[in-house]
Amino acid sequence: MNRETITIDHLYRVEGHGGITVAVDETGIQSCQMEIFEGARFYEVLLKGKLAKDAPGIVCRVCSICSAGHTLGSVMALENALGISVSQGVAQFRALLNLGQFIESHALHLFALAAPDYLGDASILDMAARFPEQVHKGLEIKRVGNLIQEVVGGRAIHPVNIVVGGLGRRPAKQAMQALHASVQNALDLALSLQGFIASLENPSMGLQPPILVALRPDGDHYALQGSHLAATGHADIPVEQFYARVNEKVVRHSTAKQSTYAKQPFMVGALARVVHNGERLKGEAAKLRDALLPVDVSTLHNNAAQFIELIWALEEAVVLTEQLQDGPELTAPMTALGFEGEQTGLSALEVPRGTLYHLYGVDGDGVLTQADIITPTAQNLAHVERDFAHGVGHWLAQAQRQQETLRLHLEMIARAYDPCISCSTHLVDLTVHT
Amino acid sequence: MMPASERLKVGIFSFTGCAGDQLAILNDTDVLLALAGRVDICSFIMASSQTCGEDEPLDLAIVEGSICSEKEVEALKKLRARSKKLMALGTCAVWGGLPAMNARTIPIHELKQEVYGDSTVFPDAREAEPLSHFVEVDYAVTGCPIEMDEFTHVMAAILNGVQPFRQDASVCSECRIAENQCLVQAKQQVCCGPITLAGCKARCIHFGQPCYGCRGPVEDPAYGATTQLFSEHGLDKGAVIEQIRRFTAPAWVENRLIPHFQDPQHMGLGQKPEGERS
Ligand code: SF4
Ligand code: SF4
Ligand code: SF4
Repeated sequence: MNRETITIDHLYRVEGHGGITVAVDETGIQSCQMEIFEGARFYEVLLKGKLAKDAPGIVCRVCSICSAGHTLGSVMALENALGISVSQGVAQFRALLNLGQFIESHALHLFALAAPDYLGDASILDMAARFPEQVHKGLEIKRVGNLIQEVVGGRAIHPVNIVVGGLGRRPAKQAMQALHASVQNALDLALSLQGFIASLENPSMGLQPPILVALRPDGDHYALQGSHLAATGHADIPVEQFYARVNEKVVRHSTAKQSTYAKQPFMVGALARVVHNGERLKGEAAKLRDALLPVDVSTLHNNAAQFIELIWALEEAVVLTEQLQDGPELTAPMTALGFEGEQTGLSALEVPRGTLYHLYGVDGDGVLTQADIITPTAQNLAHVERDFAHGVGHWLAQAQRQQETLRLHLEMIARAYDPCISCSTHLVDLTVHT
Repeated sequence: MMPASERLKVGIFSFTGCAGDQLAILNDTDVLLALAGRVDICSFIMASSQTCGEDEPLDLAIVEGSICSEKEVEALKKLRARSKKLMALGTCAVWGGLPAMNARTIPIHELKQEVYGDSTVFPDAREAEPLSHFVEVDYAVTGCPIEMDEFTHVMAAILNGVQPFRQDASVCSECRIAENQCLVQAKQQVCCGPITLAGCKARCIHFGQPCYGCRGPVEDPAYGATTQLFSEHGLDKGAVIEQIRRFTAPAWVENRLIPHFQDPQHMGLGQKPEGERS
């Protein structure tokens, strides 16, 4: 067999720009690289020397689709450094904001990005011709996710209402009532789509069981925060030990760094959360978990797990938009942050694509001395490469190898990670050079 | 001005940024569909992998993000050469935005060394700059992210062959219309509103927080009145300058903004900003 280089020139859906190169010869797969050639933005250095109070407004601009998550993560890390906690009401509003982000992001990914693959469509537009109802409902659910972020965060992208110590302004009761009705409606729409989601079947492509890592919520609820980390094949560890367990390294083919957990590639995201914490789900989400996920999951089941979480998020949001109409007291936002000597603050938070870590060091003048942000997509990159190698291996072993099948399967794998917002049509442009 | 009659060929492109301005357009399905009904959107990376040919002429290129590598400089120039008109979309494209905030204070090789541990990794990184430093820009829609009503206003003007209205007031003007309590006067907080371009309806002040200048500076603010306002309330004007640098290309701040401030010596702004913590 000749040496082949399989190049996926442009992965449109990674936030920014990336591609994949797989090299194969007669002895097998020589290398499999996920290349990220997005321009480097150096956020971690840029933050040093800035006032800590300005960090949330800066780091949310790392990513537009996860801007709520970065704002929350940043504010929580600073509160951790200051040793303060917010009232339950503030925590609930923030949880609602994160749910809005989940609803928007999962609905977009499921209906606009992932579903067309399963239906043999090139894009959501092609899909809309045959599945107008599903497309229409999916976009309406997405819109409600944005609405939550507007009402609670003050803006759908780069929220302005999330402040260290509290909330800038309490959303008006009327706005919360209207939001409650919209969320209830979106939940009904989503529930009516469960048959559609169940009909999307994963093709077999020789993937190995994923190594999954997610936060373990305290208490017995399914939630997006927790003090411990759960990992496939390992005992739970406190989040503070994350840095001892996870190695982040620079790879020359990518401006994004890659991570391993106990020296192995790992996957974060909806599937990791549902597998590790799914027994805590209640209501319709619990039923769906039993219906949609087999015992032996593969990376591709991340799509089904997102639907389970979409239902969970909408059910939670129905409750919160009701509870938060009146009442719970809000701690006041801090206008000046008083740091005493050198302080360190860490936050870990589940965002749509997985666990997001923010770590800051702050000196006595309130100036950042250190900043480290570890995003879900960066954590997933090594695991994506592992899956690609398995997928290509499976393809090589087939008697009738078709480029089209490999192309579709590699695209489906990459899309299943939901690396970031992207196109509704072709994810990758695949060319094989022999 | 473009002809109002024909169906324009429009491409939406992106350089270095967070893609928030493309996302804002994608999020507003009504505007997007209306636009798709009026023009041919032949390239929109975030929405479609279909792109127009590299040499295909365009009536309008809508460009998001700042320019952070030589490759991007080249790509931008090529895009300009084949586009009749070019719109800078979002603060990164118009002013440099956050990617440019440390330009001229930390050399690029030091940034690379610190993040990647090896300054020879990714040799094609350069200090971020706005589009206008490299090519002529016909329309600018600022904001981080853009405000959709402004975007639709400019698009409608282009489609109707008229000149779009150019916002030339500061956030303070909208703050007054919204009847917000002035945070400088009432709470002695440092607010960038006086020197930031209006258009967001004083969004942050509505939520009880000072403006941090995310839309970039207003071209000709009443600097005298501004500095006086800050002085009267005992506030540090340098802090405002430092904040405005965050979203605006530092060169512009140094050459245009700082000299306009009255009595720069007194404000501690007379020195060159190199070496200054920002
Ligand atoms: S201007 Fe703001 S929203 Fe637009 S790309 Fe830059 S950081 Fe993102
Ligand atoms: S200084 Fe700030 S708070 Fe005061 S009027 Fe201007 S924008 Fe509003
Ligand atoms: S008030 Fe200032 S920081 Fe807030 S959105 Fe408007 S321009 Fe941006």
